[in-house]
Amino acid sequence: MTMDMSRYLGLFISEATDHLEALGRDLVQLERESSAGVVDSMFRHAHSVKGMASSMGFESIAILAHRVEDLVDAVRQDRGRLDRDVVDLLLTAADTMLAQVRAVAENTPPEDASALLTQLGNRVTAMTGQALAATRVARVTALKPAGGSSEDSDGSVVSVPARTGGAAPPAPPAPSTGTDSSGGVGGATTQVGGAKTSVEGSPEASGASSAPRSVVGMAGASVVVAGLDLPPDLLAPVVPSPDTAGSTAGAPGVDAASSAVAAVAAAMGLVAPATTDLGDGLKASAGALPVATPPAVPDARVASQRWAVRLRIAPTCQVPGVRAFLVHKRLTNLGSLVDLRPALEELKAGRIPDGYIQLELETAAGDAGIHASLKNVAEVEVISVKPAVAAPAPVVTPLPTAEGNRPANDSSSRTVRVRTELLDYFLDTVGELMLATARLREVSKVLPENTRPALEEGVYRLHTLVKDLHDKVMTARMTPLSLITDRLPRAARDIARRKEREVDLVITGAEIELDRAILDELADPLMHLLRNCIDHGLESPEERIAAKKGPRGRVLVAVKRARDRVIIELEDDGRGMDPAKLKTSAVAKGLLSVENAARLTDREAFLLSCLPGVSTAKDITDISGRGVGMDAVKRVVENVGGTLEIDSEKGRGTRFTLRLPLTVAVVHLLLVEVGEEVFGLPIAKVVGATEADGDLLSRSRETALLPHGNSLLPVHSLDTLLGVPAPARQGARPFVVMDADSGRVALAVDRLLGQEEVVLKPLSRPLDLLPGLSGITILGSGRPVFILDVPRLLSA
Amino acid sequence: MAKRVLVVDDAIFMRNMIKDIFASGGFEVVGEAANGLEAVEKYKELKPDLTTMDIVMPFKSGIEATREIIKADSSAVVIMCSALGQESLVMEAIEAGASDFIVKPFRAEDVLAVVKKVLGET
Amino acid sequence: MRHVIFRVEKERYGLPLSAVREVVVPPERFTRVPRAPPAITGVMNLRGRVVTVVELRQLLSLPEGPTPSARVVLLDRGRRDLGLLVTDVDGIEAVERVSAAPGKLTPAVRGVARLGGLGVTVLDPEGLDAAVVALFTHSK
Repeated sequence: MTMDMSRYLGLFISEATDHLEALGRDLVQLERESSAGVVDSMFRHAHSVKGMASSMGFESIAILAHRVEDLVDAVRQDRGRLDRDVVDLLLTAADTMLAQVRAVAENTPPEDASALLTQLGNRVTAMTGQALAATRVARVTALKPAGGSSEDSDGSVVSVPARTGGAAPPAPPAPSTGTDSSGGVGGATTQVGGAKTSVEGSPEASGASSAPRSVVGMAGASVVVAGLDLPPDLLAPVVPSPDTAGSTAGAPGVDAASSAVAAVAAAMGLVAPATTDLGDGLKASAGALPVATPPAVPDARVASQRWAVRLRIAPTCQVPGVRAFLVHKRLTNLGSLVDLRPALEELKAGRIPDGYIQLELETAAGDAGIHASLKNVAEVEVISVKPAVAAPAPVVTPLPTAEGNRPANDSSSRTVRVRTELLDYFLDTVGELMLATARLREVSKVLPENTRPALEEGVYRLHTLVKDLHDKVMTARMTPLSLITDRLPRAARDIARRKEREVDLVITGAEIELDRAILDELADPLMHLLRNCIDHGLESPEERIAAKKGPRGRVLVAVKRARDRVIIELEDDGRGMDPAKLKTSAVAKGLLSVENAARLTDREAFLLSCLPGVSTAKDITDISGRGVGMDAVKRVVENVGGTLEIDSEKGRGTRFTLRLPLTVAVVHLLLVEVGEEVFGLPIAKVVGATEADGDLLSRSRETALLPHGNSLLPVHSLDTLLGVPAPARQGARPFVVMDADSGRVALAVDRLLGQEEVVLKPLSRPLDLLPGLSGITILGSGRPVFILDVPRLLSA
Repeated sequence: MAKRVLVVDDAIFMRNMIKDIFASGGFEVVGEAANGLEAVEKYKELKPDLTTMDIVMPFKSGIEATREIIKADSSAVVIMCSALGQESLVMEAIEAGASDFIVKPFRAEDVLAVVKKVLGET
Repeated sequence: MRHVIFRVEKERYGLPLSAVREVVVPPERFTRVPRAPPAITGVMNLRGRVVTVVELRQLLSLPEGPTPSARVVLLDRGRRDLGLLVTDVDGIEAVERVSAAPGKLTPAVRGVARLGGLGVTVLDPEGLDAAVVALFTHSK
């Protein structure tokens, strides 16, 4: 059963293209400067493309990538081998693969690459004198690059490996088996031998490449080897069959060899000390013993004993050598290996006739320990473990390998995965397009009257298109809230357990989508609100029963969509908040005057909990008191353009309501000038602007007070707040009235420049470390302008 | 409870494919890393039941990362993702403490069979 | 390894070529960063990206000098946009052996090397990054 690979196609195309382009760049750099780092990087790119293409079943790309990998590897071993021709060849190969990837994308037949493959192959063999290895390609029936050229006429694309280590002669034209093979065939082989190899190689190769479908289903193997590297053993007349293997292997007369093996193994440091501790394996296994336990089980007194072990590497195993090595490693961990057949070097090379391995092991772990140490190794069947006294029984009954019958993934979605960085890049680029458009509009303003309309019309059209593109990109960035709400149930359980609360968490509407950038920001605040609800909101079960509530508290997280907003409500049925206490606390902390406090509605009073230090929680617990506080929650929500509301009823519970924009990118600003700098103030927070003479304002201690409506607002000078030099001013100047956390404030500025709709860019490190900035934008003039977070500016 | 998996590969393509394979087998992929450095960090942070590890990666190879992971946690289960032709590298990884390996191109059944075997689920 | 060689006054510094995205002429004016440490010259718009520019002289606590800064060396640090304001850029040279710098150790300095008989202080890109972040976190 094959996986549905079509879902990976988009990702394959984009990622393979990236790698191939990077490979091309590396090559160009390599020619300028030959460094090991660049060669390594090239190798990784080729290797990645090979892996992806083979997984996708794109044979010609995979084989080409494999050859490039070989050639780069040869260069890696000796950079002196690199010359212009090799670079040219590699560049051509990179270009060809790019074209083939494009062909896949466009569903057109891939370019024929046989000549190129020959060249690459010749180059590799000429450099290394080594044969070309086969390329494995997944058989993906659901997906085939259009055109079958690589399958029949291009039998040549499949490389036929030869084992001869000799230098390859220049490729003669080889009509029957394909040109690529000739690079490897030959060498020491005679004319006849070479011909024979060709003849044998040919059906293998074509069988592999042109009849994949018939192979699918055989023993569940949907993977075939394109070009088989047959070990010499298979060509030799004597190939032990399973039963003869048993007797041959078990025959006496192995001592000489065994001691040699032991010596080699010891020299390689592979043999564990004879006295091994009781491995985990022994303890773990006891229950899992097979029925056929040997009669002579050592007693509780643990003594080292010699065991004869017979096992078999599954015939379906793709790399029996590595598998055998793993077995060897596991067993040497148990004790000392005194006999191993085939010998370790043979094992590592994969020369294991029919997969049978036999060995003798001196260990204190017992047969249970031996079974246990191999129990978790895939593709290995332990045939027998017996005390090594009598000759082992010759009868071998290979068991059929367990057939994993898992259903293939049946998702048939037509969507293509796009990397999030790519989406960020799209958004950045569209943002820049919007800026460029704004720039053009600026330019058009200074043009003479007669040329202006044409340009303005063009700019208008461009603006519409870019805006539309922006919307589409934003749509692509929409991500369901479940991305962050999925973490809440687990967190709720943990918090509740630590606080000895009982809680039911109900989440609804998590499938509703928001811009990923907003989601990323919301993860921590949401978690904090949840903690707040459980930690401070909910009472202990005893208190709840005393208050005639059920012992289990309930927290509801409800997500709703309301036109262009997403509303998240977090609600508990706990003790609720006391507005009077919050006011008292804020006044006590000097954050609010008694008069102002009296004027606050209950809803406004609840928001006082978002001021640093006002929380009415009796003590700062280790759960809620760390990391983000309510002030941070409010700030994050407002920075992404949302609002936070708190409703509460004493004894009944508290509800936090987050109203969020669907997207974060566009904000309305009031631009102000301070000294020579320009700053943006979010219009959403601006109440109004007024002009007054600063020197004539009344003062309360140090602070000037600006009359606004019925009240006097504290005045802050923006140049001082920001540390921006500005000349002292006489006479009337503008003031901007804004909403801050503990009421309104007036900001003294030098000039009002007007409103603008801008694309907000988040602040990157290190700018995000500065308090009081919520983002940055670039104006049509090209000037970067910071967007201020006034409440934070005032508190920091 | 579903076994927790960390997927390490420098190609997103491969990571996605491996993630899907694990998802289809009822595993929970709790993290991903794109190079050896990240792999070691993520491992220490997430303590997964199982880690799949690519070999050829930038910054730090899968073998080196495996060695460090095993050093930090000798019971770590690391499965190498290898391609044909990397036999000697896989053996090196086994020496470094890798529990098992899978061979690209992957088949879901094979991967899950190896993984379940290694975790003692079969 | 090839390094970009630049100067602060007469003193020569190097950064690995792979760590440098490009070298640009500073704009006529930078946008000042409110409340930033003094070493932060400001931000600039580079083809639509916002780059934070640090004066290398101040980052490394070097004495004031008479020569105006004429170049910005942009670091290639993924999505993080950071530029170093320097006196001038000399070119690209192969720096082979870097030995430990004598005296005080700062993470921004990897070591010293000799180039054409003259000393070059080789900087560490990660260390520079850390030093800039430290400016912001310590000033609070």
